[in-house]
Amino acid sequence: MATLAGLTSGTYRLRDLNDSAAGTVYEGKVIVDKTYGHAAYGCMICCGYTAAFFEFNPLGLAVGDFTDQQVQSGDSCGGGTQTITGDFPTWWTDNTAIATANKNKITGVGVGATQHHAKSVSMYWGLKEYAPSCPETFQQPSGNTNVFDFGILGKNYILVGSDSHVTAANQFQCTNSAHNGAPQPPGGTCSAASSDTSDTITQVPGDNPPSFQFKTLDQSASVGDRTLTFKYDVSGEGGTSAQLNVTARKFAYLANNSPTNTCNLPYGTTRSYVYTVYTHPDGASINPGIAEGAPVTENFNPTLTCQTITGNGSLNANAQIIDNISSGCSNAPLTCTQTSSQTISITGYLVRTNTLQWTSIGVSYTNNGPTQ
Amino acid sequence: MRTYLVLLCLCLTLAATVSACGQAQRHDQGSHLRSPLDATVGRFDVADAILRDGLSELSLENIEGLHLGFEEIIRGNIQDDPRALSGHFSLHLEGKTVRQIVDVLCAFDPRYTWSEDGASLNVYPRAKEEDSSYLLNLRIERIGISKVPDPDQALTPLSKLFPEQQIGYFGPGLGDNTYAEPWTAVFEHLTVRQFINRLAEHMGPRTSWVWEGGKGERMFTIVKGGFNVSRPAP
Repeated sequence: MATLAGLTSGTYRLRDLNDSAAGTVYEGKVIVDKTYGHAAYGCMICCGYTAAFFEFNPLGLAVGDFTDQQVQSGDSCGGGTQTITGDFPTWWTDNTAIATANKNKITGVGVGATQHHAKSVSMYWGLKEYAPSCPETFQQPSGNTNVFDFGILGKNYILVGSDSHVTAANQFQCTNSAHNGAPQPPGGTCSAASSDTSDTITQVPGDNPPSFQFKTLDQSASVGDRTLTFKYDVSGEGGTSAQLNVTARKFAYLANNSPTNTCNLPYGTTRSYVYTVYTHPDGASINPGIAEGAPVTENFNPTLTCQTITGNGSLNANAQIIDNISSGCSNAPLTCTQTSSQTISITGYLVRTNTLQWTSIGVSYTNNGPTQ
Repeated sequence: MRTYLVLLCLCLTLAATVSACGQAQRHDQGSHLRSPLDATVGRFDVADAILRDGLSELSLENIEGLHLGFEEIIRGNIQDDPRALSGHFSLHLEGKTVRQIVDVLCAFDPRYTWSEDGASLNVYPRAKEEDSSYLLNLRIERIGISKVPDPDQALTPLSKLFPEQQIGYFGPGLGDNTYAEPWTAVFEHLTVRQFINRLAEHMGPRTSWVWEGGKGERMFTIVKGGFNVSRPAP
């Protein structure tokens, strides 16, 4: 410790950094002048932590989940609140069928309520005061432990878009851990949040256990980078939470088959293209049954002059798009010719451009991507 | 090209339009009960439209049970622009039934009339109404279809039945316009129009078909739900 030149009196604080609990330094002398010999004698006083308590009380846990509990206390030396978990080497619970303690790691075992405890080393507890000695005692905080049976039923992705068929695929339900019933204990409330604060979350009316529907317009930058957090809180008993890392997938590109000509009249062609839908950033296809009915639109540039009537597209039950491209199929020769660029979009997201060329014998088809 | 720019308000007297349109009464007496033609459309708007545009909008109104067939006047060449051959109009209606809307649409293009055939509503050229040589009026004594996956494939037996008639179809573009399962059926004593109605109706609760094109290149397009028309970009 260094002192200012010329200092003759004052106060100082001595903290035993190596053993803050019991302490091996009981008083301090400060040499202020080693050259000519001058030492200052310090009269130490007692100070330390005032009373231990748990940071989380009650502590809510899900079955199989764990939380690192922390012990905190007021500090009569420097003021404020300090985390002093390191001074508590002994931890236990009242009912290990409900929760166990491994040092400060409290793990949920079964649904129910119990208490957990911790015991300090022998150390000074109390206010800052002059005393001939600093008495050392133990402290033993206790806290309530409520173990919940809580889980989230849902997929590991959400789809990007605001169409109702898309957002219907983005539903997550608060359940028990087996996903076959409501969270336990009953009577709590479930809430949901997304790491992307621009995501919109709505509770699905009438669903019990409650479900939440997410709407996002932001595609993930990488697989699993979106965190969805669900909390289950029971009044007076605390709560627990569960997180899912999901990917926000955006319709990106299509892959198609090579269909045969199904025109069974003498002239023309009719080919039924079946498109599988892929998303970014994962490059995975959409599973059957997902986003069924999501609108698919096509635009032509220039406007079509051969075929001027078209149907309505949507993702079918296999999560595929059907496009029946025909030059016309007739019992008489065809004459119509045209070249047009076709763009296909799903809920407004462009996923394919084709060049279609109508001739007297059929339609040539060129895939201009994107292909990945 | 004739051009109409008309904004119809609620005060439009429908009696006058019915009279102008002259609907052919071919429907069954009991068909008015819960008929999709009696369904009310909250708001119906078209702008700078021709008849096919208006019928397209109506077909896309998601009216349960509405099956709409439209036979356009065949053009000289298939690539002739239908919009250059028809009168244009703008229209705003509120709270009108399908029946009233079709009446109004036909009033804007009096070359057309309409009728009901079972579950289907047919709009067709007035000039062909009594023309027994017109394809859609031809009588069919008996026609069978066997395991057809979609309405288009059912046109092959029709083509064989009338080899002197040019018959064709365009694939319907986007959408799964197929039957739930291959269909086998026999029809007797009906017109070609009724046959096409039956083929379309079998696809689902809402269907549309259009007969259009040029001389020598006349095409059916049969779709589930409503139909879309190519229009120049605004």
